[in-house]
Amino acid sequence: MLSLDIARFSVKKEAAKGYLGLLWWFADPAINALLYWFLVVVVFRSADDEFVPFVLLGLVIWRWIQQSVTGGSNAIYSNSGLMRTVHIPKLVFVFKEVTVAGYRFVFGFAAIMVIYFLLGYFPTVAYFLLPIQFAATLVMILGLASLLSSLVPFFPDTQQFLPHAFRVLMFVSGVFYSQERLPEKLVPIYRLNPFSGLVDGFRAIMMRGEAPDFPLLIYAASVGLACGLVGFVIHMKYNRLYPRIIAA
Amino acid sequence: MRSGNPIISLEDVAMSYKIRNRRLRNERHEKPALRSINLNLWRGETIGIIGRNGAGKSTLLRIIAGIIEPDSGIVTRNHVSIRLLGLNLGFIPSLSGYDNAILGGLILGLRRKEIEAMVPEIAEFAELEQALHNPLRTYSSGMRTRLAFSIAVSVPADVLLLDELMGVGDVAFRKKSGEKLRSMINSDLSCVIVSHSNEIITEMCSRIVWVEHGETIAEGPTEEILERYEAAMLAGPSQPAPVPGR
Repeated sequence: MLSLDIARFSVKKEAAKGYLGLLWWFADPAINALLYWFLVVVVFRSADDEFVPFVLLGLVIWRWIQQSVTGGSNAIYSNSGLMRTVHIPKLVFVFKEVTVAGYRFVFGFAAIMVIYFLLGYFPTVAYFLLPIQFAATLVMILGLASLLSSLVPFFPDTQQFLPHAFRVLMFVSGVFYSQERLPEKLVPIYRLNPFSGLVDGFRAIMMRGEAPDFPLLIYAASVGLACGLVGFVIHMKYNRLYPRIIAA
Repeated sequence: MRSGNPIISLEDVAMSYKIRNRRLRNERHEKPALRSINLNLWRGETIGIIGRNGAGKSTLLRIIAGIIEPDSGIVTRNHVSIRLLGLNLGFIPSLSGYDNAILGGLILGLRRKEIEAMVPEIAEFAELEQALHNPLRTYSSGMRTRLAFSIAVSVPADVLLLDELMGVGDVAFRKKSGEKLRSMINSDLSCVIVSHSNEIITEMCSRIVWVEHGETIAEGPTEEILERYEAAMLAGPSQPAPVPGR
């Protein structure tokens, strides 16, 4: 609860940055849409109508995952000043960062819905499965953010490493291509990556009007849950050690 | 004044900072901050902690507050809420004073409803009623300190820890905030004060603990310990006076 309350103020801060405030979060996917449309349709003269919506959705989901996890992982460092004067469970800051990234995603996702509508992808019955899809993704995000944030103070280089890791992950999680394009040998490895199932689940619902691959969702949520449990235990053990590590 | 068990007690508390030289070999060396601290605080009592710079006083307050944990020793807190009075409440400059007051209250453990009800009083004490809804970035540093101080003293606690903070702001507000702290200290609140000012220590504290090189050197009535401390300070840079009975 405290995380949600504090997050509200961080969102307000973002909104206060310019006259257009949170509209920028909405505009971001729309600008991307124009860029990819220009690249794919105008420059490469591709006849594949599906590519632009395909990539846009992948990118919005990916940004949500990436911003939540990197923000959450660095939460102990980014709130270190406060940590030295008040004792607050450090997971509060992690959840706060995830919540802020969540707000951002809501705007981006709303923009995608509008774009999809304009491109002729109308909501189907499958949309009722979106909450399950969101829940599985959120469990994965929270779990990974909890685990990484509990380790970053011990291994500060992780902060530098994470953006690179996410760039690599983006290219192997099917943000830009579908599973069918991969050589068959690679498919099982591809599906081992929980992110690929999550990204594809959204496309199943919103582009193909199908149910997502439930075993893959359960797999992703389980990986998230396992990470979360380990992260929680480490946090509980070292809650009062983190301010000391940060200071040294 | 002393009845029953102390509300806070520290037994043989020790802690060192592990300083990383951020290189590939990841060499570390330990810098002991506290070696052996013994301290008791009874309900309603105000004690002072004295010692040279770097003696470990601020680390000690953080341990009492439960912000950090020592490496060894026993810290007992008898179901009391403890607040280290600090001015860093995670303020966000682009938000209004009002929003920051709410944020500060949340950080200090209040519910949103509780802090919302307290804001008018906080603003009045900070003398910021006019500017309350302006963004914090338009505040002078004095105004910010006043706001932070007013929030910090409004949130209730059983034990107050003061680290060289006996008033903030300009002359007038320094007097007002100092008086506020004095009235809190003189209430049934328990206090631990770290200060280099003999005046404050003599006025406020019935008992003091003298810390040197992370160890409790002596503990006892204010005047007696202060006298010995001053003699030691005059005697030389880093040589505590021989302490009888140790």
